[in-house]
Amino acid sequence: MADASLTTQRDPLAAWRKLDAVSRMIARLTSQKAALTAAAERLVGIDGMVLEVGLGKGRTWDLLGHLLPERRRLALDREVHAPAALRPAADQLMLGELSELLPRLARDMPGQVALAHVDCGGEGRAADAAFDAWLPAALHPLLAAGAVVAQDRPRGHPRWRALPAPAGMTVFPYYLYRKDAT
Amino acid sequence: MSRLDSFIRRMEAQRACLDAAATLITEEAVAGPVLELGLGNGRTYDHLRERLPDREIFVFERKVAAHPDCVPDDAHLFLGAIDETLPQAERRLGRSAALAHSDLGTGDAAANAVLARLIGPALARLVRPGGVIVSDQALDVAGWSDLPLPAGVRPGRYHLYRAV
Repeated sequence: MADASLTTQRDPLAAWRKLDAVSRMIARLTSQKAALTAAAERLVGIDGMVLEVGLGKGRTWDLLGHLLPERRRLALDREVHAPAALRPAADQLMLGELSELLPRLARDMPGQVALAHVDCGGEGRAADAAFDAWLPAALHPLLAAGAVVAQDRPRGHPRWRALPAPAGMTVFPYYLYRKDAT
Repeated sequence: MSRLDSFIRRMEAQRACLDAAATLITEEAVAGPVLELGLGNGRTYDHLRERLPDREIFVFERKVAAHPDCVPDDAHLFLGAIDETLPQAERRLGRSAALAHSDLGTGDAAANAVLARLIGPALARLVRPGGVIVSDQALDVAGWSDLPLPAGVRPGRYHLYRAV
């Protein structure tokens, strides 16, 4: 007999998908804000830079600058879609495929990222299982001990601990992890 | 305030004003279609059709770039420059609309002022007495009255008017 639990796996975005487009956007951005604000508060005593994986429209890049003004920020994306006012400076931006950029950064600046924000899903993209499986291992060597990772999808790693959902989260889930301190 | 915060607040204000307008025309049984000036990515069009499923919605857009799920059929799309499509709509629909939402503003204050002078009189000829206008720009139309903004919406962020 087929195992019913395998075919009724819960979609974490089911409630969100039922909303209209304005409400979906508000929910997604509100969760981003809640997650990044909570992540920034957990960086006390952890040295390192902020890595934005997926610049998009530059809104969370701007929020991260407000939350952590004293930290160096670096954004990665395929191309720039952010308006001019939110475009990172040349030395804050690396364009290309993550499959090339992350290994290069792992070599050039291992252990130097205190906060990584991974927002590669957008609103429309279907889950990319291969990417979701690859990303944590590619990101892990960049992270400082105790670093925090905020993500739009649950991409875990054996050396990361899931943090509780922060206050202010909406029906659009965001995921926080902390790399082991040792 | 970060751009993320200001964007969230703008969208919340937009949604609250659209909901207030939809409630008004529903409770007061103001008949007529809805006009959406500026489709953009189709988000507010999607919100309006969800909120007002029994109303016709006519969309004005220079060039459609929205997700295909959020694009009206050809019969409900006025495609082209707004100074040309508004007179077309006037000929076709007359002064029949119950609700108009205009979100055509850009970061260019001078261009926005020109736009407001065009849109205000045009909407006065398209929205029926008792109808509601929701706008990202202040519109100065003789005879329209300001409606109170929903709680939480900062004055000036969005605008609500009643056509008389």
